[in-house]
Amino acid sequence: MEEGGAVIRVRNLVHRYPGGNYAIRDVSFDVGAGEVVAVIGPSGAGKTTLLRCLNLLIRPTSGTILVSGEDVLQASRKNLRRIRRNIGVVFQQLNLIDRSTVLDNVAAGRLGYLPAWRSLLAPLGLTYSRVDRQIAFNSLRRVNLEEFTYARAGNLSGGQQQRVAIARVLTQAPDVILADEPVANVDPRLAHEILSIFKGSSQARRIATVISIHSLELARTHSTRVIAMANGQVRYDGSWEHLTPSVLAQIYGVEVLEASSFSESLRNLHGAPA
Amino acid sequence: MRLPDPIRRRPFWVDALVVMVAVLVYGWSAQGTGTSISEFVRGLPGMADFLGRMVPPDREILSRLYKPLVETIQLAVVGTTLGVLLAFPLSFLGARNFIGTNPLYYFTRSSFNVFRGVSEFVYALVFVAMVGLGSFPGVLALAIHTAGALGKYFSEAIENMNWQPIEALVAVGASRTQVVFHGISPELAPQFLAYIFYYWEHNIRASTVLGLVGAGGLGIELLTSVKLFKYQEVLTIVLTMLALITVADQASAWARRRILSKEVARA
Repeated sequence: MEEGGAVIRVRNLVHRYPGGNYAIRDVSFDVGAGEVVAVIGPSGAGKTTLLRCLNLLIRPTSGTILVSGEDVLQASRKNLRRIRRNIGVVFQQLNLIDRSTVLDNVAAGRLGYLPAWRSLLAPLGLTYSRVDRQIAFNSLRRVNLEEFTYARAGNLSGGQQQRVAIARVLTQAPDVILADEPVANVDPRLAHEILSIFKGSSQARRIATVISIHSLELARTHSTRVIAMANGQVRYDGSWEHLTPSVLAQIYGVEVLEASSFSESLRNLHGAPA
Repeated sequence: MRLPDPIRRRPFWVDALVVMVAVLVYGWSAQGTGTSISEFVRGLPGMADFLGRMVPPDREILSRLYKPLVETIQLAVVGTTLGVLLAFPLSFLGARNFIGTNPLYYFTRSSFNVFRGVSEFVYALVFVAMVGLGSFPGVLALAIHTAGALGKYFSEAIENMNWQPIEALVAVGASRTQVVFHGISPELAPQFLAYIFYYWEHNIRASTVLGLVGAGGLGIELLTSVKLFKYQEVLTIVLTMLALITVADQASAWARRRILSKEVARA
Protein backbone atom coordinates (compact mmCIF):
# COMPACT_ATOMS: atom_id res chain seq x y z
CA MET A 1 0.00 0.00 0.00
CA GLU A 2 1.39 3.38 -0.94
CA GLU A 3 1.96 6.05 1.67
CA GLY A 4 -0.78 8.67 1.74
CA GLY A 5 -3.19 6.28 0.07
CA ALA A 6 -4.57 4.95 3.34
CA VAL A 7 -8.28 5.51 3.97
CA ILE A 8 -7.95 4.48 7.60
CA ARG A 9 -4.81 5.44 9.45
CA VAL A 10 -4.47 4.45 13.09
CA ARG A 11 -1.43 5.49 15.13
CA ASN A 12 -0.50 4.51 18.68
CA LEU A 13 -4.09 3.92 19.69
CA VAL A 14 -4.60 3.20 23.37
CA HIS A 15 -7.80 2.51 25.23
CA ARG A 16 -7.68 2.12 28.95
CA TYR A 17 -10.69 1.29 31.13
CA PRO A 18 -11.37 3.51 34.13
CA GLY A 19 -10.18 0.59 36.30
CA GLY A 20 -6.75 0.85 34.71
CA ASN A 21 -6.86 -2.25 32.49
CA TYR A 22 -5.88 -1.84 28.86
CA ALA A 23 -8.34 -2.90 26.15
CA ILE A 24 -6.04 -1.65 23.41
CA ARG A 25 -2.36 -0.86 23.84
CA ASP A 26 -0.45 1.00 21.18
CA VAL A 27 -2.15 -0.21 18.02
CA SER A 28 -1.10 1.20 14.63
CA PHE A 29 -2.18 0.14 11.15
CA ASP A 30 -3.38 1.44 7.78
CA VAL A 31 -6.17 0.24 5.53
CA GLY A 32 -6.25 1.26 1.89
CA ALA A 33 -9.15 1.70 -0.52
CA GLY A 34 -10.52 -1.61 -1.76
CA GLU A 35 -8.79 -3.63 0.95
CA VAL A 36 -10.70 -6.11 3.08
CA VAL A 37 -8.86 -6.61 6.35
CA ALA A 38 -9.85 -9.46 8.64
CA VAL A 39 -9.17 -8.85 12.32
CA ILE A 40 -8.73 -12.15 14.12
CA GLY A 41 -7.81 -13.07 17.65
CA PRO A 42 -9.29 -14.67 20.75
CA SER A 43 -12.32 -13.23 22.54
CA GLY A 44 -11.27 -10.31 24.68
CA ALA A 45 -8.32 -9.45 22.42
CA GLY A 46 -9.77 -5.98 21.85
CA LYS A 47 -11.27 -6.42 18.36
CA THR A 48 -14.68 -4.98 19.19
CA THR A 49 -13.23 -2.12 21.21
CA LEU A 50 -10.89 -1.28 18.33
CA LEU A 51 -13.74 -1.11 15.81
CA ARG A 52 -15.89 0.96 18.17
CA CYS A 53 -13.05 3.43 18.67
CA LEU A 54 -12.70 4.03 14.94
CA ASN A 55 -15.99 5.95 14.67
CA LEU A 56 -15.88 7.18 18.25
CA LEU A 57 -18.69 5.08 19.69
CA ILE A 58 -15.97 4.68 22.31
CA ARG A 59 -13.52 7.52 22.86
CA PRO A 60 -10.02 6.05 23.08
CA THR A 61 -7.61 7.21 25.76
CA SER A 62 -4.94 8.38 23.33
CA GLY A 63 -3.62 8.01 19.80
CA THR A 64 -4.60 9.26 16.36
CA ILE A 65 -7.28 8.07 13.96
CA LEU A 66 -7.53 9.49 10.46
CA VAL A 67 -10.42 8.46 8.22
CA SER A 68 -10.26 9.78 4.66
CA GLY A 69 -7.76 12.32 5.96
CA GLU A 70 -10.00 13.64 8.74
CA ASP A 71 -8.92 13.51 12.35
CA VAL A 72 -11.69 11.63 14.14
CA LEU A 73 -10.60 12.47 17.67
CA GLN A 74 -10.36 16.22 17.00
CA ALA A 75 -13.65 16.48 15.10
CA SER A 76 -16.37 18.89 16.20
CA ARG A 77 -19.84 17.50 16.81
CA LYS A 78 -20.96 18.54 13.32
CA ASN A 79 -17.88 17.12 11.64
CA LEU A 80 -18.24 13.91 13.60
CA ARG A 81 -21.67 13.41 12.00
CA ARG A 82 -20.04 13.81 8.59
CA ILE A 83 -17.24 11.42 9.48
CA ARG A 84 -19.71 8.85 10.78
CA ARG A 85 -21.86 8.88 7.67
CA ASN A 86 -18.66 8.05 5.82
CA ILE A 87 -18.14 4.95 8.01
CA GLY A 88 -20.66 2.15 7.70
CA VAL A 89 -20.92 -0.13 10.72
CA VAL A 90 -22.42 -3.62 10.86
CA PHE A 91 -22.81 -4.81 14.42
CA GLN A 92 -22.58 -8.26 15.93
CA GLN A 93 -26.12 -8.13 17.34
CA LEU A 94 -29.03 -7.27 15.14
CA ASN A 95 -29.93 -3.65 15.62
CA LEU A 96 -32.63 -2.57 13.26
CA ILE A 97 -35.60 -0.45 14.24
CA ASP A 98 -37.90 -3.46 14.52
CA ARG A 99 -41.18 -1.62 14.09
CA SER A 100 -40.13 0.32 11.00
CA THR A 101 -40.25 -1.08 7.49
CA VAL A 102 -37.21 -2.63 5.86
CA LEU A 103 -37.04 0.30 3.45
CA ASP A 104 -37.11 2.86 6.27
CA ASN A 105 -34.31 1.01 8.02
CA VAL A 106 -32.21 0.98 4.88
CA ALA A 107 -33.00 4.61 4.04
CA ALA A 108 -31.76 5.57 7.52
CA GLY A 109 -28.33 5.26 5.91
CA ARG A 110 -29.10 8.65 4.34
CA LEU A 111 -29.79 10.40 7.68
CA GLY A 112 -26.23 11.64 7.95
CA TYR A 113 -26.75 13.55 4.70
CA LEU A 114 -30.06 15.17 5.67
CA PRO A 115 -30.71 18.28 7.73
CA ALA A 116 -32.16 17.36 11.13
CA TRP A 117 -35.39 19.35 10.59
CA ARG A 118 -36.46 16.95 7.86
CA SER A 119 -36.99 14.23 10.43
CA LEU A 120 -39.86 16.35 11.80
CA LEU A 121 -41.66 15.13 8.67
CA ALA A 122 -41.13 11.51 9.69
CA PRO A 123 -44.73 11.07 10.92
CA LEU A 124 -45.86 12.03 7.41
CA GLY A 125 -43.33 9.70 5.82
CA LEU A 126 -41.64 12.61 4.07
CA THR A 127 -38.14 12.49 5.51
CA TYR A 128 -36.54 10.83 2.52
CA SER A 129 -36.63 12.19 -1.02
CA ARG A 130 -37.37 10.02 -4.06
CA VAL A 131 -33.67 9.88 -4.77
CA ASP A 132 -32.84 8.69 -1.26
CA ARG A 133 -35.54 6.03 -1.46
CA GLN A 134 -34.19 4.88 -4.80
CA ILE A 135 -30.67 4.61 -3.35
CA ALA A 136 -32.08 2.60 -0.45
CA PHE A 137 -34.01 0.31 -2.78
CA ASN A 138 -30.91 -0.31 -4.90
CA SER A 139 -29.03 -1.35 -1.77
CA LEU A 140 -31.86 -3.72 -0.90
CA ARG A 141 -31.57 -5.28 -4.34
CA ARG A 142 -27.84 -5.65 -3.77
CA VAL A 143 -28.58 -7.95 -0.80
CA ASN A 144 -31.51 -9.66 -2.58
CA LEU A 145 -34.20 -8.50 -0.19
CA GLU A 146 -36.31 -6.32 -2.49
CA GLU A 147 -39.36 -8.51 -1.95
CA PHE A 148 -39.31 -7.48 1.73
CA THR A 149 -39.18 -3.73 1.02
CA TYR A 150 -42.32 -2.92 3.02
CA ALA A 151 -42.14 -5.74 5.57
CA ARG A 152 -41.56 -4.88 9.20
CA ALA A 153 -37.87 -5.33 9.94
CA GLY A 154 -38.64 -7.17 13.19
CA ASN A 155 -40.50 -9.89 11.27
CA LEU A 156 -37.46 -10.95 9.25
CA SER A 157 -35.18 -13.84 10.14
CA GLY A 158 -31.81 -13.18 11.76
CA GLY A 159 -29.91 -13.67 8.51
CA GLN A 160 -32.28 -11.39 6.61
CA GLN A 161 -31.98 -8.72 9.27
CA GLN A 162 -28.21 -8.85 9.02
CA ARG A 163 -28.51 -8.29 5.26
CA VAL A 164 -30.83 -5.32 5.89
CA ALA A 165 -28.12 -3.89 8.16
CA ILE A 166 -25.63 -4.31 5.33
CA ALA A 167 -27.99 -2.63 2.89
CA ARG A 168 -28.25 0.30 5.30
CA VAL A 169 -24.47 0.55 5.35
CA LEU A 170 -24.27 0.46 1.53
CA THR A 171 -26.89 3.24 1.43
CA GLN A 172 -24.49 5.44 3.35
CA ALA A 173 -22.14 5.24 0.33
CA PRO A 174 -19.23 5.13 2.77
CA ASP A 175 -15.46 5.07 2.20
CA VAL A 176 -15.11 2.72 5.15
CA ILE A 177 -17.05 -0.30 6.38
CA LEU A 178 -16.48 -1.76 9.83
CA ALA A 179 -18.12 -5.08 10.62
CA ASP A 180 -17.98 -6.60 14.09
CA GLU A 181 -18.50 -10.37 13.88
CA PRO A 182 -21.09 -9.95 11.11
CA VAL A 183 -21.50 -13.69 10.55
CA ALA A 184 -21.37 -14.92 14.15
CA ASN A 185 -25.10 -15.71 14.18
CA VAL A 186 -25.79 -16.99 10.67
CA ASP A 187 -25.45 -20.36 8.98
CA PRO A 188 -22.32 -21.15 6.92
CA ARG A 189 -23.95 -20.64 3.52
CA LEU A 190 -25.30 -17.23 4.51
CA ALA A 191 -21.95 -16.37 6.08
CA HIS A 192 -20.28 -16.87 2.69
CA GLU A 193 -22.98 -14.84 0.99
CA ILE A 194 -22.67 -11.94 3.44
CA LEU A 195 -18.89 -11.87 3.31
CA SER A 196 -18.93 -11.92 -0.50
CA ILE A 197 -21.17 -8.85 -0.44
CA PHE A 198 -18.54 -7.09 1.66
CA LYS A 199 -15.74 -8.19 -0.61
CA GLY A 200 -17.67 -7.37 -3.79
CA SER A 201 -18.67 -3.86 -2.73
CA SER A 202 -15.26 -3.19 -1.28
CA GLN A 203 -13.68 -3.88 -4.66
CA ALA A 204 -16.42 -2.28 -6.77
CA ARG A 205 -16.64 0.92 -4.73
CA ARG A 206 -13.06 1.08 -3.39
CA ILE A 207 -14.27 0.79 0.20
CA ALA A 208 -11.77 0.14 2.97
CA THR A 209 -13.34 -2.73 4.91
CA VAL A 210 -12.39 -4.06 8.34
CA ILE A 211 -14.11 -7.21 9.57
CA SER A 212 -13.57 -8.82 12.93
CA ILE A 213 -14.22 -12.52 12.62
CA HIS A 214 -13.61 -15.79 14.42
CA SER A 215 -13.73 -18.30 11.60
CA LEU A 216 -10.27 -18.45 10.04
CA GLU A 217 -11.49 -20.26 6.93
CA LEU A 218 -14.14 -17.65 6.19
CA ALA A 219 -11.69 -14.87 6.96
CA ARG A 220 -9.08 -16.29 4.66
CA THR A 221 -11.51 -16.74 1.76
CA HIS A 222 -13.02 -13.29 1.93
CA SER A 223 -10.26 -10.93 2.97
CA THR A 224 -7.15 -9.54 1.33
CA ARG A 225 -5.13 -9.08 4.50
CA VAL A 226 -5.14 -10.16 8.11
CA ILE A 227 -4.50 -8.38 11.39
CA ALA A 228 -4.11 -10.71 14.34
CA MET A 229 -4.70 -9.29 17.79
CA ALA A 230 -4.06 -10.64 21.24
CA ASN A 231 -4.16 -8.90 24.57
CA GLY A 232 -4.95 -5.52 23.03
CA GLN A 233 -1.98 -5.56 20.69
CA VAL A 234 -1.44 -6.26 17.01
CA ARG A 235 0.66 -9.42 16.83
CA TYR A 236 0.60 -9.86 13.07
CA ASP A 237 -0.31 -7.60 10.17
CA GLY A 238 0.18 -8.88 6.64
CA SER A 239 -0.79 -11.44 4.05
CA TRP A 240 -2.43 -14.78 4.86
CA GLU A 241 0.47 -16.60 3.21
CA HIS A 242 2.91 -15.53 5.88
CA LEU A 243 0.63 -16.17 8.81
CA THR A 244 2.45 -19.23 10.08
CA PRO A 245 1.15 -21.79 12.57
CA SER A 246 3.67 -20.56 15.11
CA VAL A 247 2.27 -17.02 14.91
CA LEU A 248 -1.24 -18.37 15.39
CA ALA A 249 -0.06 -20.48 18.28
CA GLN A 250 1.27 -17.35 19.89
CA ILE A 251 -1.99 -15.54 19.43
CA TYR A 252 -4.43 -18.19 20.52
CA GLY A 253 -2.24 -19.91 23.11
CA VAL A 254 -0.64 -23.31 22.79
CA GLU A 255 -3.48 -25.15 24.51
CA VAL A 256 -5.85 -24.47 21.67
CA LEU A 257 -3.39 -25.76 19.10
CA GLU A 258 -3.33 -29.16 20.69
CA ALA A 259 -6.67 -29.76 19.07
CA SER A 260 -5.65 -31.44 15.86
CA SER A 261 -8.65 -30.13 13.93
CA PHE A 262 -7.25 -26.69 14.43
CA SER A 263 -3.88 -27.51 12.83
CA GLU A 264 -5.80 -29.29 10.12
CA SER A 265 -7.71 -26.14 9.34
CA LEU A 266 -4.41 -24.27 9.31
CA ARG A 267 -3.04 -26.63 6.71
CA ASN A 268 -6.13 -26.07 4.63
CA LEU A 269 -5.63 -22.36 4.96
CA HIS A 270 -2.20 -22.68 3.44
CA GLY A 271 -3.41 -24.84 0.62
CA ALA A 272 -2.75 -28.49 -0.07
CA PRO A 273 0.87 -29.55 0.51
CA ALA A 274 2.89 -29.61 -2.71
CA MET B 1 -14.88 -18.15 56.13
CA ARG B 2 -17.69 -18.98 58.56
CA LEU B 3 -20.76 -20.54 57.01
CA PRO B 4 -24.18 -19.19 57.98
CA ASP B 5 -26.19 -21.32 60.44
CA PRO B 6 -29.03 -22.92 58.39
CA ILE B 7 -31.18 -23.64 61.47
CA ARG B 8 -31.13 -20.14 62.97
CA ARG B 9 -34.38 -18.22 63.26
CA ARG B 10 -34.73 -14.54 64.06
CA PRO B 11 -35.29 -14.00 67.79
CA PHE B 12 -38.93 -13.80 68.95
CA TRP B 13 -38.54 -10.34 70.46
CA VAL B 14 -38.21 -9.00 66.88
CA ASP B 15 -41.67 -10.35 66.02
CA ALA B 16 -43.09 -8.93 69.24
CA LEU B 17 -41.62 -5.53 68.45
CA VAL B 18 -43.13 -5.50 64.91
CA VAL B 19 -46.59 -6.35 66.30
CA MET B 20 -46.31 -3.68 69.00
CA VAL B 21 -45.32 -0.97 66.53
CA ALA B 22 -48.18 -1.95 64.19
CA VAL B 23 -50.76 -1.79 67.01
CA LEU B 24 -49.46 1.61 68.09
CA VAL B 25 -49.61 3.03 64.54
CA TYR B 26 -53.17 1.78 63.99
CA GLY B 27 -54.38 3.03 67.36
CA TRP B 28 -52.81 6.42 66.84
CA SER B 29 -54.32 6.77 63.33
CA ALA B 30 -57.79 5.63 64.41
CA GLN B 31 -57.76 8.09 67.29
CA GLY B 32 -56.56 10.93 65.10
CA THR B 33 -59.32 10.37 62.55
CA GLY B 34 -62.05 9.71 65.09
CA THR B 35 -62.68 6.27 63.67
CA SER B 36 -64.64 4.07 66.02
CA ILE B 37 -67.18 1.29 65.72
CA SER B 38 -69.65 2.94 68.11
CA GLU B 39 -69.49 6.16 66.10
CA PHE B 40 -70.27 4.15 62.96
CA VAL B 41 -73.24 2.38 64.56
CA ARG B 42 -74.61 5.68 65.86
CA GLY B 43 -74.39 7.12 62.35
CA LEU B 44 -76.26 4.24 60.68
CA PRO B 45 -79.82 5.65 60.99
CA GLY B 46 -78.68 8.95 59.50
CA MET B 47 -77.10 7.15 56.56
CA ALA B 48 -80.21 5.07 55.99
CA ASP B 49 -82.35 8.20 56.04
CA PHE B 50 -80.01 9.90 53.58
CA LEU B 51 -80.00 6.91 51.21
CA GLY B 52 -83.79 6.73 51.49
CA ARG B 53 -84.11 10.29 50.34
CA MET B 54 -81.85 9.60 47.32
CA VAL B 55 -84.11 6.98 45.75
CA PRO B 56 -85.61 6.90 43.27
CA PRO B 57 -83.10 8.87 41.17
CA ASP B 58 -84.57 11.95 39.57
CA ARG B 59 -84.86 11.24 35.87
CA GLU B 60 -86.12 14.71 35.07
CA ILE B 61 -82.65 16.23 35.20
CA LEU B 62 -81.08 13.79 32.73
CA SER B 63 -81.62 16.22 29.86
CA ARG B 64 -79.87 18.91 31.88
CA LEU B 65 -76.89 16.60 32.46
CA TYR B 66 -76.17 16.06 28.77
CA LYS B 67 -74.16 19.24 28.31
CA PRO B 68 -71.92 18.88 31.39
CA LEU B 69 -71.42 15.20 30.52
CA VAL B 70 -70.10 16.06 27.08
CA GLU B 71 -68.06 18.84 28.63
CA THR B 72 -66.45 16.35 31.02
CA ILE B 73 -65.30 14.20 28.09
CA GLN B 74 -64.05 17.24 26.18
CA LEU B 75 -62.14 18.40 29.23
CA ALA B 76 -60.35 15.08 29.45
CA VAL B 77 -59.59 15.03 25.71
CA VAL B 78 -58.15 18.55 25.57
CA GLY B 79 -56.36 18.26 28.92
CA THR B 80 -54.76 14.95 27.95
CA THR B 81 -53.73 16.24 24.52
CA LEU B 82 -52.06 19.34 25.94
CA GLY B 83 -50.35 17.19 28.56
CA VAL B 84 -49.00 14.86 25.87
CA LEU B 85 -47.72 17.79 23.80
CA LEU B 86 -45.77 18.99 26.84
CA ALA B 87 -44.66 15.55 28.01
CA PHE B 88 -43.33 14.22 24.68
CA PRO B 89 -40.49 16.70 24.10
CA LEU B 90 -39.67 16.96 27.79
CA SER B 91 -39.43 13.19 28.22
CA PHE B 92 -36.29 13.08 26.07
CA LEU B 93 -34.61 15.61 28.34
CA GLY B 94 -35.58 13.39 31.26
CA ALA B 95 -34.07 10.20 29.82
CA ARG B 96 -30.57 9.64 31.12
CA ASN B 97 -29.45 7.46 28.21
CA PHE B 98 -30.52 10.11 25.69
CA ILE B 99 -29.41 13.35 27.28
CA GLY B 100 -26.71 12.11 29.67
CA THR B 101 -26.43 12.63 33.40
CA ASN B 102 -26.37 16.40 33.62
CA PRO B 103 -28.21 19.27 35.34
CA LEU B 104 -30.83 19.39 32.58
CA TYR B 105 -31.74 15.75 33.27
CA TYR B 106 -32.17 16.34 36.98
CA PHE B 107 -34.10 19.56 36.40
CA THR B 108 -36.54 17.84 34.02
CA ARG B 109 -37.06 14.87 36.27
CA SER B 110 -37.76 17.07 39.30
CA SER B 111 -40.20 19.22 37.35
CA PHE B 112 -42.09 16.02 36.45
CA ASN B 113 -42.31 15.27 40.14
CA VAL B 114 -43.60 18.75 40.92
CA PHE B 115 -46.18 18.55 38.09
CA ARG B 116 -47.56 15.18 39.07
CA GLY B 117 -46.88 15.44 42.80
CA VAL B 118 -49.74 17.90 43.26
CA SER B 119 -53.27 16.60 42.60
CA GLU B 120 -55.12 17.99 39.57
CA PHE B 121 -57.81 19.04 42.05
CA VAL B 122 -55.40 21.42 43.77
CA TYR B 123 -54.18 22.80 40.43
CA ALA B 124 -57.83 23.38 39.44
CA LEU B 125 -58.41 25.31 42.65
CA VAL B 126 -55.45 27.55 41.85
CA PHE B 127 -56.36 28.04 38.19
CA VAL B 128 -59.99 28.87 39.01
CA ALA B 129 -58.64 31.63 41.22
CA MET B 130 -56.37 32.77 38.38
CA VAL B 131 -58.61 32.61 35.29
CA GLY B 132 -62.10 32.30 36.78
CA LEU B 133 -64.79 29.62 36.76
CA GLY B 134 -65.33 27.27 33.80
CA SER B 135 -63.77 24.39 31.93
CA PHE B 136 -60.60 26.23 30.95
CA PRO B 137 -58.98 26.15 34.41
CA GLY B 138 -59.90 22.45 34.47
CA VAL B 139 -58.10 21.88 31.16
CA LEU B 140 -54.98 23.62 32.48
CA ALA B 141 -55.05 21.58 35.68
CA LEU B 142 -55.36 18.28 33.81
CA ALA B 143 -52.68 19.30 31.29
CA ILE B 144 -50.09 20.07 33.97
CA HIS B 145 -50.72 16.94 35.98
CA THR B 146 -50.76 14.78 32.82
CA ALA B 147 -47.52 16.35 31.55
CA GLY B 148 -45.79 15.39 34.78
CA ALA B 149 -47.14 11.86 34.92
CA LEU B 150 -46.71 11.00 31.23
CA GLY B 151 -43.33 12.75 31.12
CA LYS B 152 -42.12 10.41 33.83
CA TYR B 153 -43.61 7.32 32.16
CA PHE B 154 -42.20 8.26 28.74
CA SER B 155 -38.74 9.01 30.16
CA GLU B 156 -38.64 5.68 31.90
CA ALA B 157 -39.75 3.87 28.75
CA ILE B 158 -36.90 5.54 26.85
CA GLU B 159 -34.42 4.60 29.55
CA ASN B 160 -35.53 0.97 29.49
CA MET B 161 -35.55 0.47 25.73
CA ASN B 162 -33.01 -1.59 23.81
CA TRP B 163 -30.32 0.94 22.94
CA GLN B 164 -28.45 -1.06 20.30
CA PRO B 165 -30.67 -0.03 17.36
CA ILE B 166 -30.30 3.58 18.48
CA GLU B 167 -26.53 3.29 18.62
CA ALA B 168 -26.63 1.98 15.05
CA LEU B 169 -28.40 5.19 13.98
CA VAL B 170 -25.78 7.28 15.78
CA ALA B 171 -23.14 5.33 13.87
CA VAL B 172 -24.85 6.28 10.62
CA GLY B 173 -24.33 9.94 11.52
CA ALA B 174 -27.86 10.65 12.72
CA SER B 175 -28.39 13.73 14.88
CA ARG B 176 -30.33 13.69 18.14
CA THR B 177 -33.48 14.92 16.43
CA GLN B 178 -33.20 12.20 13.82
CA VAL B 179 -32.67 9.60 16.54
CA VAL B 180 -35.89 10.82 18.21
CA PHE B 181 -38.03 10.58 15.08
CA HIS B 182 -36.49 7.62 13.28
CA GLY B 183 -35.38 5.46 16.18
CA ILE B 184 -36.98 6.06 19.56
CA SER B 185 -40.47 7.16 18.45
CA PRO B 186 -41.23 4.23 16.13
CA GLU B 187 -39.87 1.74 18.66
CA LEU B 188 -41.87 3.12 21.57
CA ALA B 189 -45.06 4.25 19.78
CA PRO B 190 -47.26 1.41 21.13
CA GLN B 191 -46.10 1.94 24.70
CA PHE B 192 -46.59 5.70 24.46
CA LEU B 193 -50.08 5.25 23.01
CA ALA B 194 -51.05 2.81 25.73
CA TYR B 195 -49.93 5.26 28.40
CA ILE B 196 -51.87 8.07 26.71
CA PHE B 197 -55.10 6.06 26.68
CA TYR B 198 -54.58 5.09 30.27
CA TYR B 199 -54.15 8.72 31.23
CA TRP B 200 -57.14 9.85 29.22
CA GLU B 201 -59.23 7.43 31.27
CA HIS B 202 -57.61 8.74 34.46
CA ASN B 203 -58.47 12.29 33.37
CA ILE B 204 -62.13 11.39 32.72
CA ARG B 205 -62.30 10.21 36.31
CA ALA B 206 -60.57 13.35 37.55
CA SER B 207 -62.69 15.73 35.48
CA THR B 208 -65.95 14.40 36.93
CA VAL B 209 -64.95 15.98 40.24
CA LEU B 210 -63.12 19.07 38.99
CA GLY B 211 -66.47 20.86 38.95
CA LEU B 212 -66.52 20.75 42.74
CA VAL B 213 -64.02 23.60 42.70
CA GLY B 214 -65.75 25.29 39.80
CA ALA B 215 -63.55 23.93 37.02
CA GLY B 216 -66.25 22.61 34.69
CA GLY B 217 -67.93 19.29 33.97
CA LEU B 218 -70.43 17.16 35.89
CA GLY B 219 -68.96 18.14 39.25
CA ILE B 220 -70.61 21.56 39.09
CA GLU B 221 -74.05 19.95 38.85
CA LEU B 222 -73.21 17.67 41.76
CA LEU B 223 -72.16 20.63 43.89
CA THR B 224 -75.38 22.54 43.10
CA SER B 225 -77.70 19.61 43.88
CA VAL B 226 -75.91 18.80 47.15
CA LYS B 227 -76.16 22.40 48.27
CA LEU B 228 -79.90 22.49 47.48
CA PHE B 229 -80.43 19.16 49.37
CA LYS B 230 -81.86 17.60 46.18
CA TYR B 231 -80.65 14.09 46.98
CA GLN B 232 -82.59 12.38 44.18
CA GLU B 233 -80.71 14.57 41.71
CA VAL B 234 -77.44 13.72 43.49
CA LEU B 235 -78.05 10.01 42.89
CA THR B 236 -78.78 10.61 39.21
CA ILE B 237 -75.56 12.57 38.83
CA VAL B 238 -73.47 9.99 40.69
CA LEU B 239 -74.90 7.19 38.54
CA THR B 240 -74.16 9.20 35.40
CA MET B 241 -70.56 9.64 36.53
CA LEU B 242 -70.31 5.94 37.23
CA ALA B 243 -71.64 5.10 33.77
CA LEU B 244 -69.23 7.51 32.11
CA ILE B 245 -66.24 6.17 34.03
CA THR B 246 -67.20 2.58 33.27
CA VAL B 247 -67.47 3.29 29.56
CA ALA B 248 -64.16 5.24 29.54
CA ASP B 249 -62.50 2.45 31.48
CA GLN B 250 -63.66 -0.19 29.00
CA ALA B 251 -62.79 1.94 25.97
CA SER B 252 -59.28 2.64 27.23
CA ALA B 253 -58.70 -0.99 28.18
CA TRP B 254 -59.92 -2.11 24.75
CA ALA B 255 -57.65 0.37 22.95
CA ARG B 256 -54.62 -0.59 25.00
CA ARG B 257 -55.28 -4.28 24.52
CA ARG B 258 -55.52 -3.81 20.77
CA ILE B 259 -52.35 -1.76 20.54
CA LEU B 260 -50.28 -4.10 22.67
CA SER B 261 -51.68 -7.39 21.34
CA LYS B 262 -50.79 -6.31 17.80
CA GLU B 263 -47.23 -5.94 19.03
CA VAL B 264 -47.24 -9.38 20.59
CA ALA B 265 -48.60 -10.88 17.39
CA ARG B 266 -45.76 -9.27 15.48
CA ALA B 267 -42.98 -10.32 17.78
